Amino acid sequence: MTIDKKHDGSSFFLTVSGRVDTLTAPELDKAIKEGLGTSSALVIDFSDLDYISSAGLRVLLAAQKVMNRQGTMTIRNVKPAVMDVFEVTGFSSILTIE
Amino acid sequence: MGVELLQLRQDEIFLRKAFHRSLLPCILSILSGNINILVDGILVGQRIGTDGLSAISLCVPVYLILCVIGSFIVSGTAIQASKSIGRQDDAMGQALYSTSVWLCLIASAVVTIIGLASCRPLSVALCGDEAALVPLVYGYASVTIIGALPKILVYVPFWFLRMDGRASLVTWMMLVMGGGNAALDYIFLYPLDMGIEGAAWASVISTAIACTMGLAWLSGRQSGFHMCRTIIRRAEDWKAIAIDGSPSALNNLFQTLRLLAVNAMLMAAGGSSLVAAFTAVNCISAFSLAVTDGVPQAASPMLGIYSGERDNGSTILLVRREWRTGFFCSVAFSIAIIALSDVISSLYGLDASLYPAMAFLSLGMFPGLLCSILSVHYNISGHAWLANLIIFSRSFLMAGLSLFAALRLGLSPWLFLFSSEVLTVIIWLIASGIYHHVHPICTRFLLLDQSLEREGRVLNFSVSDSVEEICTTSERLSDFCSEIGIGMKDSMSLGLAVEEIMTLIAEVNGGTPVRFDVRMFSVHDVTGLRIRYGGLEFNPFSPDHDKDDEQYLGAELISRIAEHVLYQRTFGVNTVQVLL
Repeated sequence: MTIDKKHDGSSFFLTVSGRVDTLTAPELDKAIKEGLGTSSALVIDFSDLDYISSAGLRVLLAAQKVMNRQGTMTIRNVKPAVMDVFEVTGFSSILTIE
Repeated sequence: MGVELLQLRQDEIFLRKAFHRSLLPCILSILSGNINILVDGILVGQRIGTDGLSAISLCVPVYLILCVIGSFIVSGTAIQASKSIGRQDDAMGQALYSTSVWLCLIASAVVTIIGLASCRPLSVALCGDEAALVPLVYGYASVTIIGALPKILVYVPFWFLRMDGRASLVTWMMLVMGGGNAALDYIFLYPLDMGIEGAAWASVISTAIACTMGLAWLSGRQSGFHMCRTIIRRAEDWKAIAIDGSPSALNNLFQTLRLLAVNAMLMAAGGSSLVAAFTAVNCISAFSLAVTDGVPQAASPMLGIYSGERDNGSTILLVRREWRTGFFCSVAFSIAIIALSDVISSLYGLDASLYPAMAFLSLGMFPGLLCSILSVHYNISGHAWLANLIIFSRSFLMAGLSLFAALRLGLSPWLFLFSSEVLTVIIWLIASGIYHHVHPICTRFLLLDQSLEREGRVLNFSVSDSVEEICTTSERLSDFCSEIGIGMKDSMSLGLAVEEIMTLIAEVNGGTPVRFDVRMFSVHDVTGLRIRYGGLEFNPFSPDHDKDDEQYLGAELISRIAEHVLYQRTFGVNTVQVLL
């Protein structure tokens, strides 16, 4: 998994590539927590993400709970296979997906 | 792709552990049975004399009928049940269990009624010219026939407890049967002075107690088998039971016929001294069965399940493990009996040295082990004809021919203990070679149908419980599935199943190492995974789990993605199957 981080004003952009699984989810969690600060917008780009497991879903859920207090969280460019996981678990109604 | 695939490989760590767990109880079971026979003979011989021993020996056909019936019914139903479990058909497994119990009950009733009605003329026929032994034979045979029910029914817990992964309970049963028989023999023969009938009652009562214990364990909540109203009705199922039961029954039959034939030939060649020596050799040979029969017996429940799953990879690994473990045990046993040959000789009060006999018996253990492993494998894998051929050859035909030839040529009569096994191996090589030539889709020696493997749509591999290995395997499996033409969605689903199920199981086992054996298959429009694992008894998809608990989020994900998820506990290990 690779993560590209970018700040633009009060927005924090993450581009995640590869796989988010039990092994790599802590790295994503750390990247979000360290980079988020007081950002009011978190945007995660999944255009190169091929796979996400429940470990990744837990990280997204934790991030969503934080952003519910301090701003917005958006997930973009989700591949069909990853979208299936969001839909089956009901996360498509919890997360904001564009 | 090739280099990465090499790392998705199955090893024997998981199945070796499961096999060895059931091996010691099987060996101890056979040993305790043989010690029981030894002690029985000593006590009867001491108290009643040689007439008592002769009477028991003449009653062997009565005992044989009960053994043949019990082993035929129960081995056939048990092997079919293990295959059904391998196909995830639990209902059929329960129906087969119920059928075996009912059949044993019915057969016992029929044998008891007919046997008691014809006991007198039967005893006369068994005694032949030895009319003086008729009262003793009648006394022993009549009690044995009355005890037909426990003697036939005891096969049920013997087979099904092992299949349930509780082989150690079978050992307890055998210890109670053996120890109880010896204790009751002493009480009935000495203080109560019941004569030959006392010896028979000791055997019947001790068997009844052991049988009751075994059935009580099978009826408990922990048991994977339960009586149900469904019994087998279809003709093809009955035929399958008969085919699968035939090797075990024929083995009992031919072993007894061999004993009678060998005794007769040795008596003619060397008189009672040679027969007496054979009695000692046969007793030690019976102990050697603890290895040559115990090893395949321990593997048989697992082989049945692998056969039902058409899991050739696991079958091959297990058969190889049987050979390696059995070889090691045979070496140890051989060293012991050769070293103790003179001690054995003096214990039986023999003048001649038993060294040649023990040496040939030892040499014969190795081809004998191979024959035994193969006959059990063929019986379970659908080649009962070859299992029966091996049994007929080693138990009767080649034993008789080898001994006849040795006596004719003036060679050591004990050579037959080795040559009969070697000749059987040669017969096996020829017969299996012919079959392989006619059916080239089957492997050369184990005759396993490789059609699924050749299509390239099954894959067996083993995984440890490290998160890194689980996640790496998940990724490689998804890649492999995509490359063999499984759709992207299913490929990812299989990778997810591996990761979610295994990480949850590793977490639940809290640091205790767990090993996984995985089979991925995509056959006839069915794609799925079978994951087998040790550790705690744990069903990741149990409805008792709190669905809102984040720990079970992954399992919930898989149960929603999959068409079916199934959990079983078989031979003491957990099995999960995910079908997409």
